[in-house]
Amino acid sequence: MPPASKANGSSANNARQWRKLRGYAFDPILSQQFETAGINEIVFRAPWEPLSPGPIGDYLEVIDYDPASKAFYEPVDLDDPSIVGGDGLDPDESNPQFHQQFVYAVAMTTIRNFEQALGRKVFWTRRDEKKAKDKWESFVPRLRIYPHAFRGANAFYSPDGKALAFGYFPASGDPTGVQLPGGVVFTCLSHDIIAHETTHSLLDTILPRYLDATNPDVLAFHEAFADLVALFQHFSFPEVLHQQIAKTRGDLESQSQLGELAQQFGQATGLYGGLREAIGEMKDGKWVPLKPDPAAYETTDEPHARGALLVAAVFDAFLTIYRERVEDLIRIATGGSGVLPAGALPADLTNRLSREAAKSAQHMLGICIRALDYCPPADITFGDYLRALITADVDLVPEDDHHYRVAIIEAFRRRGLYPRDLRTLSEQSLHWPSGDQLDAAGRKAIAFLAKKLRALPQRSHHKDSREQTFEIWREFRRTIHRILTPSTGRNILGNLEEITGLVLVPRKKKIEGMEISKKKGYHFEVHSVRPVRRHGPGGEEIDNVVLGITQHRTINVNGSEYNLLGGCTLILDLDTLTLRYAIRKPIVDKQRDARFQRWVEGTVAIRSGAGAEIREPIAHLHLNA
Amino acid sequence: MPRKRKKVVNGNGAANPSKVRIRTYRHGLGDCHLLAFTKPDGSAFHLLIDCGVVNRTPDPGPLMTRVAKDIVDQTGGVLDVLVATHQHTDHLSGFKQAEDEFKNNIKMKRLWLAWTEDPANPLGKQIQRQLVRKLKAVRTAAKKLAGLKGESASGINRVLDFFGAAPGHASSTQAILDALQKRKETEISYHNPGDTFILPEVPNVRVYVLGPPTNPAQLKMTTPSKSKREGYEVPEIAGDANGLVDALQPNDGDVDTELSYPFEKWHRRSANTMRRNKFFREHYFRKSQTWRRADNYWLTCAEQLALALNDFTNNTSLALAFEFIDSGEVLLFPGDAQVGSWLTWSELTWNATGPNGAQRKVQLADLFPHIVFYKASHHASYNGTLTGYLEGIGLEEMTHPDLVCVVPVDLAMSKEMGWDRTLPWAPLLTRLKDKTRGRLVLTDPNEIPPDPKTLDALSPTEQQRFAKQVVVTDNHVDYTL
Repeated sequence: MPPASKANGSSANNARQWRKLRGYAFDPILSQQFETAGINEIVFRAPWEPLSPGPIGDYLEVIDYDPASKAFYEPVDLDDPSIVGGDGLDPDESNPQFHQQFVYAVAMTTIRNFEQALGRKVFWTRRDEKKAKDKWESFVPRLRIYPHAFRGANAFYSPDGKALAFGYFPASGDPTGVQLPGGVVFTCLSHDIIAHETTHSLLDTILPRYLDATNPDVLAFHEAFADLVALFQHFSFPEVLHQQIAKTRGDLESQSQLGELAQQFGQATGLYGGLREAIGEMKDGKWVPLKPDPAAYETTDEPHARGALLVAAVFDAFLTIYRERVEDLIRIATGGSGVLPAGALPADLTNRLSREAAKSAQHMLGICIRALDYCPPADITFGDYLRALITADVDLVPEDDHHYRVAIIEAFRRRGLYPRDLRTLSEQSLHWPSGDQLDAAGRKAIAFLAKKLRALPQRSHHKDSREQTFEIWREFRRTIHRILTPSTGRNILGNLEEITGLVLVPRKKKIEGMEISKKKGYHFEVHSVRPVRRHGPGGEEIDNVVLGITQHRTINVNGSEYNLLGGCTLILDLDTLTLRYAIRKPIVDKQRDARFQRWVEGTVAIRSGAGAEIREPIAHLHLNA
Repeated sequence: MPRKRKKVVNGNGAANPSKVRIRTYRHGLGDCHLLAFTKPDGSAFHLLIDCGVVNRTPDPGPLMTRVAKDIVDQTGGVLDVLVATHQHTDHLSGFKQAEDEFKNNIKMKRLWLAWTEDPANPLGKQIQRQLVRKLKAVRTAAKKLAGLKGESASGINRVLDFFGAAPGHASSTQAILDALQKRKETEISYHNPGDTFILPEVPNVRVYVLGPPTNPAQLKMTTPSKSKREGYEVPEIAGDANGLVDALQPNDGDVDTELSYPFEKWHRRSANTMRRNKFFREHYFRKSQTWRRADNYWLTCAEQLALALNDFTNNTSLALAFEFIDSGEVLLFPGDAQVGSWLTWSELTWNATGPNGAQRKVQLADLFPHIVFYKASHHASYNGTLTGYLEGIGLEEMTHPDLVCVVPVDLAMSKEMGWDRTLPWAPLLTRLKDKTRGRLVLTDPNEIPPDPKTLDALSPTEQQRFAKQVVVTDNHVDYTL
């Protein structure tokens, strides 16, 4: 239920589109190290919504309880006219109410970026509890945020509590301890950490099976994706880049300044673990790019380190894109020589370069998020993500004028991050195969599904409340499930099983490890129905629907049982009633079984199929002894 | 120079032309190694490295007494040196569990400890103080968690098992070490990395001290990942947990915990007042909110702290290499040192003085290719052995053709403790098997020792040699050089 809007003064507020909130441009800990710490304030723009104290809005609720200190902190009222008028409270580390404002501002910015890129509303994962007969899932309207949940250098997303918890670590009164310079460090005052954790929860709602570590890339992807969103979102503020770009003077060709900045962010927060090794290093006070190691993908297992490979690849692509975008500017500024005179950069040029960099970052952010709809529903690999990036971008921007896709493919190729089952790495071969191999019956089945779904995008209009929309989508999931169940759909499925890799209809020989019921065939779950609306080349609206369907099968490795996940992401075109893509992870696949087995035997990071790392509250691996 | 042909007799009376015999006991998940070096007069010089078994072992008293009795038999009741590598039960518990044997029947001439145990070393003292206080905090958290519905302290307790009873208790690892240090007949020495000396009474053996590192920041590095989070590193044991420790141990002597509160007093409201506050009543205390309360998050963080303390303690292991001066062959006993410690060894230079006074500078790269016996560090865990090759000097640099590796493990116990995946770590065992060309011996009770005849990678001569060199019985593994 959205908070009751205030009776007085709401008319003036309704006219507003954005809520401006001041916050830190850099982590407080980083700003202490910067030469000019003076400019450390930027204005975040959160979509306007009426807020109760907390702040509590439509998406988020900030509850400030600090159990280690046995302390509650009064909630901030951001709708208080004096605070609205001042663009929020003054940034102040010693004021808990400012902390509440800051986590809200950054988390809302992240949510807005997702909604913009996906073209639809986001929900949090549903909560499984028995509410009434046959009604297990309940809508969780708001993600909860605890800005001071514990004492420790960490922050985490709790999938069960639907909450983000941020830690802080104080200077100790222990006389044997070493005092931290600057006293208490708050993870909830770091843009990057807040964006990172918020992204964990957003990714979890879109692809809930990505918390199950079924191969070494899955958890690594969770980490890497959260890093990418945090980094590009931070870079999308030109003010953040301005100083760094001005500092580099004549040395613009090397694009080193942004890489260096990313690493500084990483050092302050502990994020972007491998950026230093992966993209460049400081040598004699100068940042030099490093040659990527294509073998690292085969030899790195630890999720954070492995994820860093993906972060480095996408960041590398971003640097290439940025360089291409500013080439002409530099030619203009230097009379064609490309060599800038000594001394400070002209302010105009610095402004333009910062804006170009910020724009490139915003583009990359959108590309990364949009690709989620083109990912398999479980068991993702970095190669899959590359294919998703390319396919999603081709669908949105058929002509690659700025060579974004070339830059992305090249950066992944150099790091050995590509699908192992493709002969070439061209845009065409990376593009997911279209769904036109369906036979006549299969086509009919898809057309039947698509027709049912036609009503979906219209009914989940943006004026509906999120809960209403959630219920509508939920109803569609049930409908799809009913249609695909063999007892009702046996005759219409055609070769859909073959195309999707799903196992639905009972076989003569029972498949080991899969649940089956006599009437309904093999179990499967329609875990999401997501409408995607975009504009075609001629400006016409194109309505697609993404269906995420998963199945699981238990396999036995060395005496322990593991859950293997499979399934298919189906992307349907509602206008032509056809299957555009079937992005599959067949549940019965000997090669995948063998890979899984090899991995289980050699890994330290998983426990019996559950995503140990993120399921358990601390976003760290629980490595033993 | 031709070798002496004279047959020598060692402590247990058997004919023994060897330089050393290493007996590793097969008593469970824990370390106990008895080294018998041959002195010039042919008698044996006995050096015992650790004697312990993990806490969960059923009926450890008789088990460890059996081990101790064998040590008495083998040594005639005199240990020339006892090395206690670090403060973990699986390396020390035996001295308490078989107290009678060790007290009454064994004389310990020397006790070697790491510098971290030295009461005269200010940093060592500080480390011990921190360890005690932080362990107390972890125990407090475990107690609190155990009393809470829906929470469990089992994760923390699994780690605490390695530290034995609470500090102050007679069976705590600290108390065991204290008791050893109080023995009147024993001469105690504390060792620093970079130290080297000739083994007393055995002029052909040189001892090199590798770890523990003396830099506290290096001691804290425990994971093999290059990309470890290093944002807020401070040179202290789990320094980021100081606030947590303050919260768990608020009334701890002279500690002023007010500074660990994040905000000034006037910002803080107590639960009693806030229960009546409309906002918190509705959004936190109400029954419908139970499922997403944050009451216990902070306590579960103590498991991280426990793991950090555990890793830290492993890295305080006194790591030793023994070199035979005539042949250059090296025995490596790293205790439970983890990669953080390993990485520092390659920065060391040892100044070895020869018999004629000649100085020789020795580095790790000079020793590793000559290792013929490797006691797998930390039960062959995932981060107990540095890989080497690209990063530092480690397993890949152990290139001696005679390399043999003994791994103290108990797979069933590891499984019971939930650590079967990491302790031992399967990929490491595979690599160890490659590097030793099959001469890998696990102390696990169900392990069938490798049959030399089936080790195809060895030449027939090597097979014969290995057959003579390694003898496995139910109770121990004997390696002779």
